[in-house]
Amino acid sequence: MPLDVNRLRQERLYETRAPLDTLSADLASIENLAAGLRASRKRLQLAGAGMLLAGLIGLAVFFPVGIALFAVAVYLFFRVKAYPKAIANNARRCELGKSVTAMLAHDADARSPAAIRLAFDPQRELLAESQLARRRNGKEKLFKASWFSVETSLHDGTTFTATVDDLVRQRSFTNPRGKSKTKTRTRSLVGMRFAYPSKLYGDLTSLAEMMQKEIQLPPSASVRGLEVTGRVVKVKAVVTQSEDLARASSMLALGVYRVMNLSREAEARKRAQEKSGGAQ
Amino acid sequence: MSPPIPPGVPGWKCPRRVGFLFPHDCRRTTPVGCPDCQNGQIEDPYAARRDRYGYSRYDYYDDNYFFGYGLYQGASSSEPDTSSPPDAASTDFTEADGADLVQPDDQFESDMTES
Repeated sequence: MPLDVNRLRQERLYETRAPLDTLSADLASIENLAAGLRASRKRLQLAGAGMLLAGLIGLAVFFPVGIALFAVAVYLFFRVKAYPKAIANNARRCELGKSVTAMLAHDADARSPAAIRLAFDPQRELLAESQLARRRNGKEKLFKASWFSVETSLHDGTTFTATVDDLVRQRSFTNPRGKSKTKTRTRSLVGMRFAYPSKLYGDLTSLAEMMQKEIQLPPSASVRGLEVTGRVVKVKAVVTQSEDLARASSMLALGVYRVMNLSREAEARKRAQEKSGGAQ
Repeated sequence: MSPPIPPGVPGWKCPRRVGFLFPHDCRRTTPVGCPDCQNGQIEDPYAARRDRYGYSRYDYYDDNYFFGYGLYQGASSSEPDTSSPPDAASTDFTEADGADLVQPDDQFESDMTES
């Protein structure tokens, strides 16, 4: 199914179930669209500012011309809204999507369907709200915004799921001069789930500690949780710099799989030993 | 014994390992134009990858890996562990993650008089 650009522009959401190569192509198109939207917004804003300036001069020279130029400026600023800011400013989210789908394409059938959800303007969920000490009208809010998820089956029978949530801390207060201030800080939480076939990999439970040690991440990322059972590995990491998201995601998956591959090798050796023992 | 099937002929099976996260069989019917083995020039495309960031020897494990973690002492089992359901701990955001954002020793924007 071709990319529904109108739906994307209206809902600021790309959600589909399609083969990985289709997803990669769609994400590249969305990235181009985002770049185009950004350029259009900038062009209109510049034109609007130019008209506003010309309007000021026009008012001094010939009043009706000034009013007309002001009207054109207002129209241009209004037209900017037709180019969604959420998509224009979040092209980097496509980069993450492309990186993850490219990574999965090496280990999954290109024709097998993958479910993806990429939200450019996700709904924020309020997690906590508290007063900010020593600040007039000080308030602190914590939000979560889930904007990316992908799920697919890999060649080894593992079902892979990845999610990215933005964790937003918003602090607002009134400064000594009486001005309202709002400060926000955003961190990203990458979650991954590997539902692995225990026949192939054995039970990874005892390898949780090793997995923790084997995972290497960029300096701006750190592992915040790891749970290993006989069927599933779940890991989550906090990434402080959004430009490291794609790299951190790949490195997280590589770290988990390095230990899974070791366990698979050990299982294979064990089976071979049992086989040779049984043959004797 | 029948002679080996040459590449490109139906029934030919690529003997190389490919993959990014884990090794698996190559499913191509010919090495011509293959981005992994580059027309058959790379013997083991899985091990030869150089795009795994900090994991320089991704496919190498010394003996400590096998013996240090008891992989030969029956630590692993093909029976799934049912003591904990798979969804017992989700990868969802928790209070602990939220606390990371408000640590008192966190210097981020501590001086909020600046804007």
